[in-house]
Amino acid sequence: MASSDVQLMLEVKQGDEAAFELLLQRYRTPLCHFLSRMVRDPALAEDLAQEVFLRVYRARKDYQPSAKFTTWLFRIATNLALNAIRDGRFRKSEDSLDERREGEDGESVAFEVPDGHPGAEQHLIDEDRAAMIRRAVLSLPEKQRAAVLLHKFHEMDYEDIARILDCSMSALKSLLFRAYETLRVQLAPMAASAKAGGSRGGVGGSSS
Amino acid sequence: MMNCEKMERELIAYLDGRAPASLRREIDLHLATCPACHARAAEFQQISNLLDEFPAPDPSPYFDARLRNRLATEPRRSWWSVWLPQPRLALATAALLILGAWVSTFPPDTPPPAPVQAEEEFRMIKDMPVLENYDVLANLDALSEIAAD
Repeated sequence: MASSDVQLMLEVKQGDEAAFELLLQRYRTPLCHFLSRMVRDPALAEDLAQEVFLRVYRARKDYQPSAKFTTWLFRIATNLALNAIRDGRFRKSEDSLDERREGEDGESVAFEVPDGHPGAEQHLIDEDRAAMIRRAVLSLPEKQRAAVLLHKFHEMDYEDIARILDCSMSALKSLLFRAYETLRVQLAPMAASAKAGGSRGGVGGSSS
Repeated sequence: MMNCEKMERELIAYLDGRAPASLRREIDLHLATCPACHARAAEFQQISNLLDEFPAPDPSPYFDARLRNRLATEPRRSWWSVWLPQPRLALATAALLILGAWVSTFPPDTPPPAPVQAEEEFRMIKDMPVLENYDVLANLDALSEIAAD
């Protein structure tokens, strides 16, 4: 049976490096996913994820299992991301659709469908859709963004998300509602076109 | 009784299936009679589905190696490190020393000198160039003779 996160962290506290490796394997990808969706720059996201693990390692001696390990881990990650965003430590709009469509001299260049590959056109459409969604999420105020991402992709309880964001349950529900309202306006054209496809699943709960 | 304002707080929990059964019933009843909330619920559901298309890159293959390198350079606390001054303690000590040095520049709390003594000191300082002039002092006798005439 797999050890619980808290059990592993207590072993790390006792100096067990293998337990730290297991925690790294368990949370490396979810943390990178969360941080890359938070800060837009994948390189910065990876740096921040490394910093999260470094802080966990540094704090191992003082670790007390008073809260869920994931709550602690994502709280560190969220605070690092919020600080990075407020410091302006992210590169601007590297994924901006408009910039991507511009050539080196700033002139507009047409998208080319590469070598007649049957799925290439669909691939570009998917990329455009993904870029629009990314821009809409990145345009949310940081705390709303974190709330949406933790709720949607990391299957966290409302209580845990509220602890991570250091707010009340009522404030969290308000953050989520306002975020979805903004996204509803920004993504209205896409949502309308998706209507034909029908709805699936619930609002929260896509894993990572 | 559910209303549109309360719906704002509970709609997400309803859509993600986390609302308790009693609340779900209330919301179902409200949605059946409120076209605005019904439309909003449908749109929120679509937004949630769209978010599934939000991509996130996986960590690079060098993630673990980079982290191990950084961990290897982490300073290990040794037995003597507990005696090293903590930054806050050092700052507080420095602040105290500076404060102490500043306070020590204040003049001591002694009574002011008597006015007579001050006048004597002033006269002595005024005569200092004369006292220091050896020639004048050496010819004092000659001057007295002139005066006698």
